[in-house]
Amino acid sequence: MAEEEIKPFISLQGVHKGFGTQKIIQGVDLDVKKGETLVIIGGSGTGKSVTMKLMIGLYEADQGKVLFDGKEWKEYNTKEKDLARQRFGYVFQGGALFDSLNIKENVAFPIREHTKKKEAEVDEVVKQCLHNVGLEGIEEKFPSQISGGMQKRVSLARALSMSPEVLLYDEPTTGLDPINSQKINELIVQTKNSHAVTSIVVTHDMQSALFVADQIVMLFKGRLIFRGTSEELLKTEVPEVKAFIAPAIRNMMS
Amino acid sequence: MNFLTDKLESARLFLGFLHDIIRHLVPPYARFNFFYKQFVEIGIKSIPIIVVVGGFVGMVLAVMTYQQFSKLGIESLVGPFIAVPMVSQLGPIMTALMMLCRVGSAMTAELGSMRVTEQIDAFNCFGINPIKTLIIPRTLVCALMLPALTVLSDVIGILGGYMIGVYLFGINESYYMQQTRHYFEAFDVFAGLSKAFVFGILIAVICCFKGYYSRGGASGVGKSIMQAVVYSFIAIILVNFFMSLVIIEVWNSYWSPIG
Repeated sequence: MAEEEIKPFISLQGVHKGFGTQKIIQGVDLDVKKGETLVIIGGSGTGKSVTMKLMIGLYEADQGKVLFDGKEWKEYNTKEKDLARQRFGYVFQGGALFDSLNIKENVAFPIREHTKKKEAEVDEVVKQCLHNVGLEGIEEKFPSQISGGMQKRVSLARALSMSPEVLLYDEPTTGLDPINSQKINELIVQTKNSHAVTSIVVTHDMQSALFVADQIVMLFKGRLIFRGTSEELLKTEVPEVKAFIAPAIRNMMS
Repeated sequence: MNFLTDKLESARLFLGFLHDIIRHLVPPYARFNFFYKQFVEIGIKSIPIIVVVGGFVGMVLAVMTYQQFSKLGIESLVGPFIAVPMVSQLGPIMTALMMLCRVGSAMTAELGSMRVTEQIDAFNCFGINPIKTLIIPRTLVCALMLPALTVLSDVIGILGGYMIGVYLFGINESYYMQQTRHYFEAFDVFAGLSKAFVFGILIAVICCFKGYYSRGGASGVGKSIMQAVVYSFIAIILVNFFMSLVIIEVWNSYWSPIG
């Protein structure tokens, strides 16, 4: 039991990742414990989304190890990878809803692919997931017919449909107005509490980060330069972190 | 140097893509719905354009050959001159080019758009193999529908040529039919359909590859469509030439009555 508690659920060990000649991640060590909400902050192009895609095994590390539930992604064969990924939910920055399917079909998609549930049961799960994110009565609409904020909530509903153990949020509040941003933040906290999921949130929205985080890490030029709680972040003396959070803090104070 | 590195990387990606397709050609397949949707898009919805193009190609062949053959007094050969090239060359080529324009470009656009909006990543994140669900149905349906649409194009083309030859230019109907039957071989049908099958695979694989690995937003997708159409076009023309040589060799060695 004690070993279970200290064993990280997701672990990056000395990870390097680049594309062509461009080095994106340079020697990142990062552990995520079961049930915690980890927020990754940092400016654009610092490798936040790449880190998240490494965590779910969408990208392979050039150097170092990425482990999920104690096993390195490289050790999984294709079928095992697919099965392991079914334990994840991913809320994409732009929603990534399938635009040829309506909202109901989008949310039902993973259920229909992975389970043998009857249509009535699928309908029930879809209805419940949409209810959880505060969206009802839009089942027959297509993604192009709803707003960006609603698309992100549908994306969350779709991610929840398979009752995942880990939820990954890529810039969940980017491009949303303050009211919709707050709705999404509340959903992240509510989902963590009600479903006991491990959450990883990538954002550069400080208000959102402080609202949802148990732990915050900051990436700067592909390196991890800070890890701590929200309180520790606000008191840090790391110059790059102070420079990054100062404008956001000023905005919040005013 | 960068150009060479890019080309090598593209070649590596393409070989990996081909390997993935071959690996997933065996069951279990994706749900029937994925195949049915492609059957409708690639097969059923292409019928009108294939009918129009096939018909007019046959008719224009009749006009051109009649004009030349009548000077030599061999108008009755218009029939076989339409039927044989239509079935062995023009039918598969024209059908493939029409399908490239109508279906191939749409495949690249759809997959490219799915790539840049992270919908393909979403498949992976849900533990759903995108090659199995997106690429295999398109490849198999395209490979099977191209020969079927080629048969349709051949029939309509031959009918179009017959109408122009017999009813417009007044070629004797029985001569027309007799000469067509005399020169027409089942081997021509085999040659045309085997080409169509290969063209179907070429179109699907090249267009899907370009879409699947699109990058760089809307302009990147546009570039991918352009490359997919150009590369597929060149591939069809080249493969047609080499297949024709091989088919003639097969004909001479195994099929020809005097071989």
